[in-house]
Amino acid sequence: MITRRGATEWNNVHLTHHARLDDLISVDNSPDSGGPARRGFEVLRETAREVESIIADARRWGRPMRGLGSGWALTDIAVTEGWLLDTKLLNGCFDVSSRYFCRSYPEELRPLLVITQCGTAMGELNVFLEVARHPGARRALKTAGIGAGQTVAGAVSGNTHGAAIKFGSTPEFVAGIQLVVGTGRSLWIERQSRPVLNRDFADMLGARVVRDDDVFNSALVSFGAFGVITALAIETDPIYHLKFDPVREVSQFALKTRLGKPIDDDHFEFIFNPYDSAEAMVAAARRVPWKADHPAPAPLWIIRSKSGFAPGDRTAVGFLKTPFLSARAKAKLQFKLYRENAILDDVRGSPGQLFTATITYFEGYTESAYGVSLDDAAKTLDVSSEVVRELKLPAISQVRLVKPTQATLGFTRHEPATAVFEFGLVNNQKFAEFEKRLRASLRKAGVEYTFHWSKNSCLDEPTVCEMYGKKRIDTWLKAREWVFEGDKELMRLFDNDHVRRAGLGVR
Amino acid sequence: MLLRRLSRSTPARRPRRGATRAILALVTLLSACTATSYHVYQVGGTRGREQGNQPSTEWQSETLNSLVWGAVRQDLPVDSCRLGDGTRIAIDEIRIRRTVGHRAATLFTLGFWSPVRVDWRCAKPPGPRGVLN
Repeated sequence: MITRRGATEWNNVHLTHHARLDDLISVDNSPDSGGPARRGFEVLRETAREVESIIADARRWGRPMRGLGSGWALTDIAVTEGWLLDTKLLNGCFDVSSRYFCRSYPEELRPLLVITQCGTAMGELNVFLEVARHPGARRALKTAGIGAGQTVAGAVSGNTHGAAIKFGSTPEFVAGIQLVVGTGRSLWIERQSRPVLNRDFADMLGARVVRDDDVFNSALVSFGAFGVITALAIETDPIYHLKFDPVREVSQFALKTRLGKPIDDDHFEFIFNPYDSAEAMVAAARRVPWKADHPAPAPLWIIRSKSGFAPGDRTAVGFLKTPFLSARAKAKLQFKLYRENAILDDVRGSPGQLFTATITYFEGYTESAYGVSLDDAAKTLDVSSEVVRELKLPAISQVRLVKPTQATLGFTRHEPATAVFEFGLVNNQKFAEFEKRLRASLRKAGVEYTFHWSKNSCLDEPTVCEMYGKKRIDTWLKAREWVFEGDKELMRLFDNDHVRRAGLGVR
Repeated sequence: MLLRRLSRSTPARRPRRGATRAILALVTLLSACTATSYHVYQVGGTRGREQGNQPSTEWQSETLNSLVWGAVRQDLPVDSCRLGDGTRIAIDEIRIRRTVGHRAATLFTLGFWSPVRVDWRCAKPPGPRGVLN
């Protein structure tokens, strides 16, 4: 059912953006008053119908709207000043009967495909997949980000990446998308090159089938601009463990040499201190068979003592702004703290046991992240370190490697693998200055880059064009126009400042 | 009388520039602090705020007042933790904040009036599960 909470002030989780909303609307799976609980297809069908009715209302009232996941994006990509549609209560997860698969879809993969509603948090999805009644039925996500608090649709639409160098980022595990755009009937979108579910399935959803690679790949990373994703078909693997080796502390010279050699791990990330070429560390893991009796590892990112004491919301920023302590000293301390509290070190567990953080982010803090080719990673390490030192930023960097995405505007698109560099920064003018100088330096060094849609300060039209090229952008724009059946008024509902600034809005 | 005596015993002096600056800085700091919460207490999350807190709603806030040294208090009925059909759902997290303004109000009224800011968000009920057939 729909609950309208009315006009309200809203902040994203990290408090980097604030909006005054006309209405905050929740949709949940409860039945119309007095009715029986919704089950199976009815859940998906009724959700689409309710979202469709909200879009129709938004159009009637001329209010822009947007779907909201967990609000983890640090940019204003999920922000609107109109109606925000909170999807967190849409958290149904289902297996699919074999009769709804296309004949060409392999039999052995069918038990591994699940349908999840858009608002299911990654942590919830892990529980659904990994904690099954029958051990044989346990499954696991093919990849995940470090956190588990994002909703699945939010994670996919923003290209949450993780560090699965042999698999890729979260959009890669999506096989089907239920999209509600306000044209009267939801769409069930799949790749033409890889059909998964048959027409009977779409009929049960009350959806129109769309099989088109360009539309599918464009809708994958569309950050709310394609309407509201209400459900996703995702492909999983039989449950497995990731076995992390002991963290290797290496010099940056050794690290750069390592990056030039083939990487045989399934998960690969490294951390470096831009102020000290002796300080870098590598965390790598391989997939190994799941062991039922293996104890779950202690969770990471715990900042609380046993008696409950933890840093306050502004402690991190307070530390980073402390006078009389050099940026170099602050970076050194951060590197040490990261080593002690935030890196997977000599542990073994399932993705749901390892990637668990849902931490409330620190106020006044933000992140800058961008992808480059693995071939340019060593050069980027030097270039970005130089910019950090020039600006005297108290920052270290985490870098995660992923296989290139098929998503049209996926920022993890670089071949042969994308190295995603992330810097935690104070959210002040230096954040934009850092990215401005970084872009100039990367350009000068001949490094192609793409900024993370949810972690940047600077995505304007020329930058987006530089990052993706005209062909990809045109494909995305054309796909967007196609799903909305060319209805510009409808498309405008899902434009926001970020989309317009990036040159992706209605023209 | 006392005031007059004090003023007589204190020679009139032009305030020093440093002192003026310090006062201005203090006033600026206090004004900034009035709107900023420094004392935050957070309750909830099945394994603390770092783990498992997956709420079903955004944060909602109310300022609550306690008056006449606690003889009269303002309670907070949380009627927002409900599904559309009226089913109640649990509260996931509560945050209690005191700004410097809240502290000052308590101090200057000697505890007669004591405000706090309360934030809460609701928990997720288990989602529907099963086989689509």
